[in-house]
Amino acid sequence: MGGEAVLPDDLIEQILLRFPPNDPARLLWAALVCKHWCHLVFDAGFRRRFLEAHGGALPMLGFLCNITEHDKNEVFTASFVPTSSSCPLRDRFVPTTLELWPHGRGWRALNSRHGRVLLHTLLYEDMHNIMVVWDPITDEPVELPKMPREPNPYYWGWNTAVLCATGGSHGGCGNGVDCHRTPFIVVFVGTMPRRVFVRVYSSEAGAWSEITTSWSFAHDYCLMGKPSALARNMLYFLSSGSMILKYGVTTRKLSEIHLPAAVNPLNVALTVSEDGGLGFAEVVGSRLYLSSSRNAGGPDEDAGWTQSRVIELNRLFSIGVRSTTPKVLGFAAVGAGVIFLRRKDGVFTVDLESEWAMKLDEFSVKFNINKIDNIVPFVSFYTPNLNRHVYR
Amino acid sequence: MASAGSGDEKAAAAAMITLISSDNEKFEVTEATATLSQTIRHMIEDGCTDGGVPLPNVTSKILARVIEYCKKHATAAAGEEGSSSSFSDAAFLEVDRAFLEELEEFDDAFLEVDRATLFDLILAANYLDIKGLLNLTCQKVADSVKGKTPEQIREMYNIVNDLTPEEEAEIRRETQWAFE
Repeated sequence: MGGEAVLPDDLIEQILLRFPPNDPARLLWAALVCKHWCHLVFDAGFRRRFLEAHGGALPMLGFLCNITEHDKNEVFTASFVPTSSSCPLRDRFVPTTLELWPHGRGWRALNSRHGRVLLHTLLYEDMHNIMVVWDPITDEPVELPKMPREPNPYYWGWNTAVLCATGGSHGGCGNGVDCHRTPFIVVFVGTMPRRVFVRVYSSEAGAWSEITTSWSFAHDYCLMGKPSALARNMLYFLSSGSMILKYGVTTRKLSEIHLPAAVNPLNVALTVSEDGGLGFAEVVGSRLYLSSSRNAGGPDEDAGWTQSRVIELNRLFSIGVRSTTPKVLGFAAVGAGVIFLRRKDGVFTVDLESEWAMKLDEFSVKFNINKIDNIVPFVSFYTPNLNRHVYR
Repeated sequence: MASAGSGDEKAAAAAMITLISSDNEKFEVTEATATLSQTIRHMIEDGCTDGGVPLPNVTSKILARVIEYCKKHATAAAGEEGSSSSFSDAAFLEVDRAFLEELEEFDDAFLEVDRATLFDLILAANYLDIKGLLNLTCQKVADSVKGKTPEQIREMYNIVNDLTPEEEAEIRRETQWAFE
């Protein structure tokens, strides 16, 4: 049938663009067909067009879940969990390579952004802590140098965030489409009595900066270890006292905004809307409340919170346990957003666009869900960069 | 009223377009059918369709198929505009659904062609800029490689493997998980 038919070169891209986004292996097999197909598959422009053709959102390939084993003297583990059976990263558990590194109380996934996961050890001796930026696609961990001892980065609560060196602005790295093996930065925020300071690690320099910002506050901060949010080039970190610390990636300025008074930061996850605005998700009773900020990026403390949506969860969970208040475990910026919730009977994702709740069955059975502290979603494109010189 | 009627007839007559294939065969189609092609739509807008539209890249065999597709889908487009703009009756929705099913069946049958014809249709859809047809035909090829190894894809589409063994090894190394 069609023995001599040759697929016109110009139209191969049109065909590859129509491959399903949830079957990454198919694109990679296509790359092995010939040079032309290979060039297309690994071309950054193609990847952007591929995403656009499939609605523009990067897929969530999985998530890292942080677990604390309280009965084992607080041992921490971070495991990679794929979100679909066709996920290529099925067997990639965080520390295949990392587990060789020191003992102590285990690993925490602190943050994931632009195709990378930031992992941190929690050791008995703070100053021996190790921070690793890991790309689950290429399975390449980059160990960061130790932070300077002065001021003590672990004095009080701290948090840290990884992002592409371009700040993740659209057009730069393509906001996660093409971030593998490109320069990245890590922002570390440490707190001390009445003081907050920031250091920035740059992969290009291979070193931590001097303190970029040091800020004296009239009150004490204690940052929580929940994942930060990046919205319009500002990083947001949840703190005790219903506060959010705000750090400008380009302005390098620190400031604070308040959560609404009635909101307990322990029960919320920061969110980012499709148009890049800051928000938070919170469950009270059987309702999921989503709030957004009109003014989070602005100069003053007033974030201008408005309640943008209320979702009655009992409507989504038609069967099962209704009595307990679900706990918000995390947020993934996929499409309109996905919220991770834990109930007594399992961990669920709630898709904010379709308002569809799905139980993570296998996961809920495999893990002791009551020990999960939070979830760090991994949202990324799955094609790695090859050595460019080969494919020119 | 009579003059209005004759005006309509004139408009209908004027709305016929002649398409000329590469082997000089002439096809008379309505403007509604022809303008599914953005390329022809622009030509009509620029007023350069007098004496027919020559399509030197499309053979009569392929053009006949393309016109068959456009006729069917032009009716569909007209039907959609008519029903959804002013009616939301269950009866109309029912008609819509039946029509969409019919359209799907038509598309499936339309794609029952050999590969050479399929590729020619893709080329024609691209050249004539007919989005629906391009999507339909490209999706057919995209679906056909599901679960196929690189070797099988090459065989299916007569593609010569010009990757060096080193390049192939590197891709396999970099994307190992997909091949396990």
